[in-house]
Amino acid sequence: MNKTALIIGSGTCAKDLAETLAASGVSVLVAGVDGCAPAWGPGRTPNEASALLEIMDGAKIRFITGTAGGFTVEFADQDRRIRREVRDILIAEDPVPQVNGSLYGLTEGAGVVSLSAFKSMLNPDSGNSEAFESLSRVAFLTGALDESLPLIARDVMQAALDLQQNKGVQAYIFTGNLKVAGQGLETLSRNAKEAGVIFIKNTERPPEIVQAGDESITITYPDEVLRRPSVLNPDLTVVDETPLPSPRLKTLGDLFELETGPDGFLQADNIHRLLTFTNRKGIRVVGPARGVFPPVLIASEIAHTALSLSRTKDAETDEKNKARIETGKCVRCLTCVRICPYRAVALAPRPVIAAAACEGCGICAAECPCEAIAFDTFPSTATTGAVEPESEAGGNRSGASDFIPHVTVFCCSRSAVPARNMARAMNGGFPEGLSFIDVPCAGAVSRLHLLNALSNGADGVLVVGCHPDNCHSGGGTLLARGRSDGLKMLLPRLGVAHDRLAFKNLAANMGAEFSQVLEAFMAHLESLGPNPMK
Amino acid sequence: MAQNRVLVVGSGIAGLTAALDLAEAGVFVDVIDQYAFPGGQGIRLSCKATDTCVKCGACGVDDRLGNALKHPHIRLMTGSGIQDVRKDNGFNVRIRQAPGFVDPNRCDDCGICLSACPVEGGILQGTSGHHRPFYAVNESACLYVKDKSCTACRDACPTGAIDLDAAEKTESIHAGAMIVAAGFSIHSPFEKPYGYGVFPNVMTSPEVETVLKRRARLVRPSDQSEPDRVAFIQCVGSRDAKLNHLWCSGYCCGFALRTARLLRHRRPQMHTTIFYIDIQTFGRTFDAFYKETRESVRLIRSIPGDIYPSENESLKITYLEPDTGETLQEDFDLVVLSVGMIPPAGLEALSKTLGLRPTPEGFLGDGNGIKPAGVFPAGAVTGPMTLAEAAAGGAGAAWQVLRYLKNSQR
Repeated sequence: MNKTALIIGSGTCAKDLAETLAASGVSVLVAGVDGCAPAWGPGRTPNEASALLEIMDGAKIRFITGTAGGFTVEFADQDRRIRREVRDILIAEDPVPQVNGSLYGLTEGAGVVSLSAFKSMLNPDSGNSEAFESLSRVAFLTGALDESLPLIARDVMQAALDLQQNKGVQAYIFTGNLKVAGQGLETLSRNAKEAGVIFIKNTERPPEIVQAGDESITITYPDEVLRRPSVLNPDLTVVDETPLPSPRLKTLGDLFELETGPDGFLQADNIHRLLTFTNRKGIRVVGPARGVFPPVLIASEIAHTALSLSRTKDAETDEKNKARIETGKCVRCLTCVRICPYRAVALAPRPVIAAAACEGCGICAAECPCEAIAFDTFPSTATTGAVEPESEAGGNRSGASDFIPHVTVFCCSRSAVPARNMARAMNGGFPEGLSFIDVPCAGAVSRLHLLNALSNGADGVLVVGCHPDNCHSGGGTLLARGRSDGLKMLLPRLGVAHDRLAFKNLAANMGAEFSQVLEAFMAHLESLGPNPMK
Repeated sequence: MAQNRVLVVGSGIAGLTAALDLAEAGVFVDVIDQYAFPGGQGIRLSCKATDTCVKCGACGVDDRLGNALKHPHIRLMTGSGIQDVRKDNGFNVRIRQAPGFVDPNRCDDCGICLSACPVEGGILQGTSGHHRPFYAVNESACLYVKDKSCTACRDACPTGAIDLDAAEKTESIHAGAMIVAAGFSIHSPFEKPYGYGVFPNVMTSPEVETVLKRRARLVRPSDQSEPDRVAFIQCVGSRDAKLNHLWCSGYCCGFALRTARLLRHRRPQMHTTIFYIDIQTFGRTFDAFYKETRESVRLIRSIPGDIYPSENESLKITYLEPDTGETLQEDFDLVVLSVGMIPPAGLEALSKTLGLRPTPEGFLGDGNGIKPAGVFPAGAVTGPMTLAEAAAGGAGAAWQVLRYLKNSQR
């Protein structure tokens, strides 16, 4: 099977990734989504592993098909169509630095430069040393009106220290919160202060910055010690840059149906999307494609990716936990194709579960209008709610009534089950009357599961799922809540109090809350009495 | 064969991440941890979610621990430490494991041993559903271990799960490489004028995490009531020249903002105040989170001076008002000290054994120029960092180990 990895990117990150992978023995194909592959520069050929490193320059990516373990990528090179089979896809687009001049009302010019431009000036190879002879005061603006970042603060402080120590120029750093969370940053800030760099930090009252017609800059700021406004006219003002997601990421996100984070990067802000993983197995996002990270972290990601990809044996697919479509029942409405968060339903031509990509969340089974999708690992709707409550010693029960509510609790495997284990360890058990049904994701609990539980004798039904933004399936917990809320509106028409059905968000480490939620629900059901549907 | 076996020191997020990556690559991993419960410092954290997840990463540690415990290529040993190491085509490591006083097959987590034990900290309680048994005898505090003078827990245990005469175990492991993911310890702020250890309602951040985990609410140690006025003091033991702790611990601003926000969400009548120097960035949507949190949490850019006792075990905080320079005083029902990270207990001895040289600050840093072959530091033992960074560090170390093993086979 083809083991090539496709790296999509046009800049440094894609290059570093390609070189590391090729050096680890992985075949690599490098391309840019819009045809712009990284340039290795004149005289700099890809390193000695060039036999494994192929660059596809000038060809645009049109679409991909397939799934984890085997993607087909179609390129368009003018009129030619080129198809390539790859095993893994890695997206590594460099960020687009946005110079924050306009944030401060400044236009770049003779008196205002970006941080990158200034760093080049400081570079001893740039031949710019005379430029500093005419400077006596340089002001740095980073996070003075917005929030800075540790990796930017590092660059600013290093530049300021260099100016102060080596070039005899007085440096001023204007910021709000000084970012020092990072290896060596606190020491760097102290060294800079000791060398004479002046830090002006204002969070409540930011500095006023005015650029006159002749390009001279005036910065007015509250001085902490003098307790009155002070004025600075720097000879040069350096503004920082915020790394923004490349616009190519939007194209790639749409093309590959990937989750996008709130900041526009190609990874959901969800702790389950660890390191370089996305919602699609086999497709990863590296470094600046997924967020703003310091170089040392990006190096770890590249290393981790190389490790995963250089495995010679493919991970075995566990067949047990996968969805199965029963073709006799399927009416090809394509709901499963659209709803799968992992894009694991292929059309070949009828809907088929791609086992390598299926995470067994169960959302498709719950959404299928024909109940045509089954799992081996949790009950189908038909068998739910034959309520045989467990009887575990321990736990608290309020209320003196003889009525012991029978409660069916649907437990998400990632949150409720670990929380339940923790609760059991802390409290030694649960009250009588509880029946736990474990599901891979709260999104696997369908309306029929809930209704059957109630009509089969449960006095109350509780669904426990992860918090929004913490769901491994992206939106499974939201789907579950939506179904529960919708059903609660219908229950009174069946003569059932709507609060016999409850939905609760919990996390895996919330053992104490799990017990409290159960106790409160049981107490409430005791006051409601037995289910009239029984 | 040694080339396919790796020893990971430390079962926190970095060690677990490294172990899982290596295990998935077919390597056999022994993970040892000096403490009774695995999961490092991260497993002790509580969830800070309100209506949505705030991405603190705490539940991720639970998740990873669960996966590591299930993985056929990973063996986890708690209460274990390295006695000596010999280089022998890899490493011959002699490991000492503390006695297994509590039999996991008999213990049903009733907790009676904890109530029966007369020594504070003699019986330890777990913090996760993966901690089974949920209780452990603390070898260094136990009176029976010291001089056989107390058998209260064994006598009280209804299932006979406690054997105080259980023996320690030693075993030798032959590993091709080692990962040092020993994590960090917590600074104890006795030297500060905040009354820690004297006033009952002055707590550290880890103590708050434990209370939130066990009780799902924050209560005052003095009377178990929920406080109305809570102050957080940042940078206690971090960014401190007097202590020579010239680092930012990285996790504390995230802790304070997320916890303050959570407390207000659960009890809207609560007033929370954070005294800080600089608020550090955390998470991926920091700007929006910071803006939203500032609407309900008061932020004062000043680190308090002395704390005096006030009525009903409340605390009177004195501080310099940042704009006017006036000295102000204010009462709080509970004061939370966001304490910093310090190098982990036992690192000096471990470094000597393995030939590592910590930096002057005491962490392993980037090796300080000394990199003994086959030994790879990862995570917060190299320097204070967040959970996400430590996980990435573990992943990076796993990769270095694999390359090292491959090269040393030639």
